[in-house]
Amino acid sequence: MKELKIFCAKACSPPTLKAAALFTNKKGIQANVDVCSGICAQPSNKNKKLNELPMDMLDEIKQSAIHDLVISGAEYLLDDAEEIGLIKKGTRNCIAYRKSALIVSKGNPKSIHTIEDLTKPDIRIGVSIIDCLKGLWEDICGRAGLIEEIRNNIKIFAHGCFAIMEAVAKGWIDVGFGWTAFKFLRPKELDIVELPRKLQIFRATSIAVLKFCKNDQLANKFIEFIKTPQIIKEYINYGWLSNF
Amino acid sequence: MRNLKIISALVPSVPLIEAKKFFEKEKGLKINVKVGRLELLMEKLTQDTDMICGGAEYLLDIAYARGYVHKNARWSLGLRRSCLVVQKENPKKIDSLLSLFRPDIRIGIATEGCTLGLWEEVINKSNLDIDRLRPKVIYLKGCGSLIGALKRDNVDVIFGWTCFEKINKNICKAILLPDEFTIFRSTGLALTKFTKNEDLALEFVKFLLSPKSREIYEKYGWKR
Repeated sequence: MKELKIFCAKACSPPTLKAAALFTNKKGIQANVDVCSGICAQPSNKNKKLNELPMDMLDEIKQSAIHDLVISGAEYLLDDAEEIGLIKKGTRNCIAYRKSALIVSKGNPKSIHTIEDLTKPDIRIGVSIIDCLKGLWEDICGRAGLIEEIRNNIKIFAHGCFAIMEAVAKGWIDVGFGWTAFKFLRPKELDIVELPRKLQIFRATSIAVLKFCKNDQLANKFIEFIKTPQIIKEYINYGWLSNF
Repeated sequence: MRNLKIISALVPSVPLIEAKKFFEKEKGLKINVKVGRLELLMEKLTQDTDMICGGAEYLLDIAYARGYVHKNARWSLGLRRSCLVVQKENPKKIDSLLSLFRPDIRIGIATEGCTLGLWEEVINKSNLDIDRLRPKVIYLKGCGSLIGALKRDNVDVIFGWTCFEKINKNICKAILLPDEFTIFRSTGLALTKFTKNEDLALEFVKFLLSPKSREIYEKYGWKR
């Protein structure tokens, strides 16, 4: 049986795993999904320094050097990959988008409803400094004109999506900057607070062929499949958007 | 003579250097500003560096995570507004995001520095087709490379800041986008953990936040 190896950002993996299973069933081609096992996928890394560990998922892809396709949660990561020749030029395709939101623990115990609530003195905020959430807090707060006020309340500079979700779920922070899709990953522990349209940021989840791929035809078949309405719907079920 | 040493990203160094000249004269001291790609400067950071100046908050978030700067000794010197930047005469007559989809348009974006990921957010906000635009993108390193590519006619348009026009009047023209498709990023300054000149550095920060410095930053397109 033919086989495809897909490397996927961990927070993008639930719908991707479904897509891969459907692909295997329908096309008779085994599609295996590996998710980050490095720093970005660790549930808690609040005490670790960024320079002690790999910077992002691209390091892990380079180290393993076995995957045919990559799925990432922000274009800038694949811009970087394309620039260093890690992905094949012209193969990148957007699957769907995620919308920024504030992430709070279930029931919203601190009654956070607006961006201005984050400036209150007792609010503890978490932001990620790597991967798909990198810089997100600034692009929201810059538009709100609240950079200084909100930065003063940032307590955790975390390494990736999972660290943010866990910090909120465990009560280490009151609110994190994340995606509306996070609610679908830990529905019993997290709630989302939607931001007004003018403060929303959208980042694309995209797929591309890696330089390690030896069967481009097969890889392209998977890309075509993942962009069909049936598969996009799987992503939408997990909180992604196809248009907005 | 007392001295301060600051490492700074390229474009944010322009108002910083102009402002520091007034402070040097007033205080009778010397401030050395080492300019370059901040990611590279931080890799070679030496213990005699007193302050770090970056063109986006995420760069100082990383400096903090690496243990270079204090968490609570960090200030915003102003915000920059995103826009499209074209050659001075705008020879390709680019006037909107839709112009970028024309077949003859080459687009420059940076894969590091203060404009990281900016293009994606602007395009996605506008709900335009990112897959159609991406094949036209040329990947460059940082603001200096973006402006250089525009100057050498290697690209027709870059995703940048309005200050590029104010700082490089002979090369750049800013094309403003509607507010809805505009991103603001902060130019930040942080005190290093190993500075031995904390009092002096804090005096300089006070000066940078004063109305005199504000005038300089605003002249170059920063907003406070």
